[in-house]
Amino acid sequence: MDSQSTTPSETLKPDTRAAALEARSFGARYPVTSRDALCGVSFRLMPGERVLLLGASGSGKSTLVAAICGLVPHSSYARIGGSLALFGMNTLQYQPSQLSRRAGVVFQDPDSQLTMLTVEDEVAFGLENLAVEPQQMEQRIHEALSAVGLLNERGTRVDRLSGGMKQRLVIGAILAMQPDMLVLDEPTSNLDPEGAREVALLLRQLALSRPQTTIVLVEHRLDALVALVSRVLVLDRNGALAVDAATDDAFGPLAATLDELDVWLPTSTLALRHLRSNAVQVPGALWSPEHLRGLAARNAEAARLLQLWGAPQRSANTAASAHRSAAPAVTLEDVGFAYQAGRPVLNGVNLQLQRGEMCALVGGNGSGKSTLAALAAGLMRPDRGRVLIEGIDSRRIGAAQIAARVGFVFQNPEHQFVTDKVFDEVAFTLRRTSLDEAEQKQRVERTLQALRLDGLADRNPFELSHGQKRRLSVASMLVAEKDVLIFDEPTFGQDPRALDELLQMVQGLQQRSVAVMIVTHDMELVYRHADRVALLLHGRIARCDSPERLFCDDELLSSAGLELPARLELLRQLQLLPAAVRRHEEVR
Amino acid sequence: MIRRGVFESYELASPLHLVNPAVKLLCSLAVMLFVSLIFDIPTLSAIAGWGLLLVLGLARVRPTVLARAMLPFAIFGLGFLWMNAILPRAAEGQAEALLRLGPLTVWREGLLNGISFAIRALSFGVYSVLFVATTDPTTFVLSLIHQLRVPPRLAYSALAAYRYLPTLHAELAQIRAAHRLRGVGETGGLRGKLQQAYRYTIPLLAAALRRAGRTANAMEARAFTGRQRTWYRTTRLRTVDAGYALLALGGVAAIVVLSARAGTLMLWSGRLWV
Amino acid sequence: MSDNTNSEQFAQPQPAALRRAWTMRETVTLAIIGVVFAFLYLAWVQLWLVLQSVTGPLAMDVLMGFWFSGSMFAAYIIRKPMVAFTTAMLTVIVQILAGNPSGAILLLTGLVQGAGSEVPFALTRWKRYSTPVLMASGATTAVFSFIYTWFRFSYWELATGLVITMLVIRIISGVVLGGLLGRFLAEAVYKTGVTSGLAIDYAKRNTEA
Repeated sequence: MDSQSTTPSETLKPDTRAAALEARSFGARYPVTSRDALCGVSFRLMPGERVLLLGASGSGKSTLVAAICGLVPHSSYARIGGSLALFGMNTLQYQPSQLSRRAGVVFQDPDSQLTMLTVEDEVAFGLENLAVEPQQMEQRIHEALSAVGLLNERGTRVDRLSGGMKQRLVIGAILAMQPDMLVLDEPTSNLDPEGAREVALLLRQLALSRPQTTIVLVEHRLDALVALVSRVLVLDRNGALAVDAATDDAFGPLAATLDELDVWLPTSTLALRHLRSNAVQVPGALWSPEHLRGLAARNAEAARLLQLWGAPQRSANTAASAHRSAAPAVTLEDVGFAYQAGRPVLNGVNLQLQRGEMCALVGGNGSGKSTLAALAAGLMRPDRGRVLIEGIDSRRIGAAQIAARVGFVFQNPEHQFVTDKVFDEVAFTLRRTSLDEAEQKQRVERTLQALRLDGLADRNPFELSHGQKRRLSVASMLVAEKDVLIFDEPTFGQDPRALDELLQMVQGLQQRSVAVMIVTHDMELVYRHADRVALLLHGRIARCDSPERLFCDDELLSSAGLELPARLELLRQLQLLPAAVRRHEEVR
Repeated sequence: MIRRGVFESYELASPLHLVNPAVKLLCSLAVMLFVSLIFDIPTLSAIAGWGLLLVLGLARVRPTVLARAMLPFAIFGLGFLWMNAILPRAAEGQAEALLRLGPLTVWREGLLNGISFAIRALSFGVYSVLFVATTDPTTFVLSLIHQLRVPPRLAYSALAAYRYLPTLHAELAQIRAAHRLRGVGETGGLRGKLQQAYRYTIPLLAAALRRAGRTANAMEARAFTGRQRTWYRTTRLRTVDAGYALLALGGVAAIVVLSARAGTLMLWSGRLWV
Repeated sequence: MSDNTNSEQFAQPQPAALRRAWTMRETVTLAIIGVVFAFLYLAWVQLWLVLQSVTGPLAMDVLMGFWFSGSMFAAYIIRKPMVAFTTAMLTVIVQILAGNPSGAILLLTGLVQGAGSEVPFALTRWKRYSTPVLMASGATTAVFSFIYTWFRFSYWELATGLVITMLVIRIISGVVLGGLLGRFLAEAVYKTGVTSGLAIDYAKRNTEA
């Protein structure tokens, strides 16, 4: 793939023979910041090449994506060093409107990318911008919509589409513009598992049917999309290019390096890492599921270790068993709830949250998970049945009492900020307690320290990075002793290390006999950490069981639109499912 | 909780949906401006009545929905009614007192003026509803661009911002829930209310501004500049538009002529003071 | 930052926030400020209706300033020509799109108030966005809107003392609830960091430096 010998294109005119994308010591620094967002990045991408761009949060991935289509520096100003050329067009010299004719960008959040109100108008929007003759639009809209499977939705209002459909529409609208390069900036990370599956499938199809299209993919849900790419670029926390390697090298021999760079890895690489750490000899460049299958077939020890790796590993939860005899922290009895009369979201839900346990709540989109969580937190009152929080009916409990007992970490931590300083934010929780001022101050400082926020006490909460915001919202919940703590989608937008830290903290809570509930789509998290999992389907708890038992039930999972945890999915492909989660497979 | 707009996604098809929004808007504005120049109760009532006929007949707005939409105008009108009745300029000269309620006096001339202003407020409402209830957002934006020459960048930004409205409602609901769990009470007099409004407003604005940046990026990344573009759909002026203008404005004109003949018409005399 | 011959070859662009023309981000930002304020105004309408039925149009004068605050907020953040006026108009257009029954009437109100807000900024040639200028903008908006209601509801028919009281109250409201509140909200939002890269950000940094 090394083609540095060809003369680099310095011409201003678009040149089809030029590299699709060429960075030469490319750097960018935003105003006031004291460090470069990107620094000395050099690489060369040929037309038709497919590359995966990885990096921890804050490593400059988004800056690079924005620079490809000229948004940096033309719209978001940054001081540029070196050069970045798209098909020979230096991005300093061309405006985003010109660059976006060659490179189409799909961003993370589908909602903020849509401009028009109907599907058809949305596709037409890009064509209008390219000044395509109106007579030709019909044809191109038809082609684009059929490529993304939305032909039947032509006249549908955009706000009636699911998240996955919206993202497919964005992709279709960009395909209609016939770009030579597709830049995909975490296209599935804002979607639920079903939407993510849909979009990943579509992208795999497109990659096959349009071999000449260059693809730059930024993504951390790798399993479904890694087959698309042949090369991996990894940025480190300083915005420098730390790894530029073929996929097989990156996820094979270089996996340890990638791990240090705090990026997500494919599950099969994690499996191999496990084998290596158990002294199994694995050839360096092997990492894909196919290779693993071959390895397991040849090496019985490897197969055994893989099964062990996939078996449930939660240590016996001593805290939970110690409290089992005590009254549950939250009890839902025959709870029913409807936003609109006659259309119940929940219908006869029974669930108990024990002290010291971690209970996961899973279910498809719109299954009522958030509603159930809000009811359990006493935020809403049930239409039918009752909710007992620490034995008190939620109908008879005041807002202040609820706030004292229940903590809730929202998906968007910003929503719960009520002051304009980090310190005050945590202290706010203690303001009505009997603690004197000095004691409060001490408690707040201790909590900030525990969550690595101590240097930020005077900052505005909104200014923090996403991970810091998340920790702050946890800190403000943890500073006072709560009985119940509910997390909404804790995985969302987290680096692997930040997520690990959060989970360690949660385990600490369990020791302190707090009842923890996690509302999540992340089955891997459920499988590895939850003591119990409740599956919501059609407004009822269809199953409340240990994770390994739930993940045996293929039919239930598929009817709820859920997937297996990543590691179980891999082992299923390898036909190595551990015994604990295999009952049904064996029967067949 | 703040109610949504009365005609948000008001999708009943009516003959008026076929009329170019720019024409509808200009007709309604013309009537409103003209109504400001009329002072007598019979003519004002007839014009308001004509608007009502169009709203119920051509725009097919259900009476209950219309009543809800008109409520603010009614309250607005009532305010003017009693203020004019009690504190008219006429009371400084010679005026006829109709009624004395303790310290308050209701003056005859003031009351008549007040009634005419109340009807004026109502007719403003009717002609506004006539436009708003029958206009599809996309068509309106296109006619802003094609007929009223609004720069495409502005018009499309407005459309993108309009798409943010449901998210805004959802965000507010979440912020309220989150704040309640932090123990921020929803009580506490005017000061508490203001403090609470401030706590809600800042995160709403912050999230909105961030969204604006993302949307603008997405639009630019789709090669949007607002210049040198073609149009998949255009709004044009057609005969039906002329027909509507003729009907709406002609009706008002006819009322004015008839009322002038009958001698009831009172037009603005150019008076600003005295 | 690493030096490279390439970067010298092409001029670095000027920060978009400092150019006179509006960027796409600024245009969408205006529109979205319009949405948020349209939403807040709607809440304010409820308060006003309650007061209005008791105290008559005087309530409108007391509360009026708040309906100007969006323009001041936007002008203070973006600091470019015609921002205040356009924000007022976009707020109205969004309300029409959202199906507010008063939509069409508001178009007239928006024109008048937008023009009123823009005047003081124009007089400084869109160079100064200090507190006095924002207060002045609140005051001129109040005067413009007062002239408009004067015609619409024939204020010459009302008692002289009452009309003067109404004007004074409206100006005070425009200054406080319009200019000062708009500035206050903009300052609070600036502290959250979401305005980075917009004109307010550059202006603040220049004064702090």
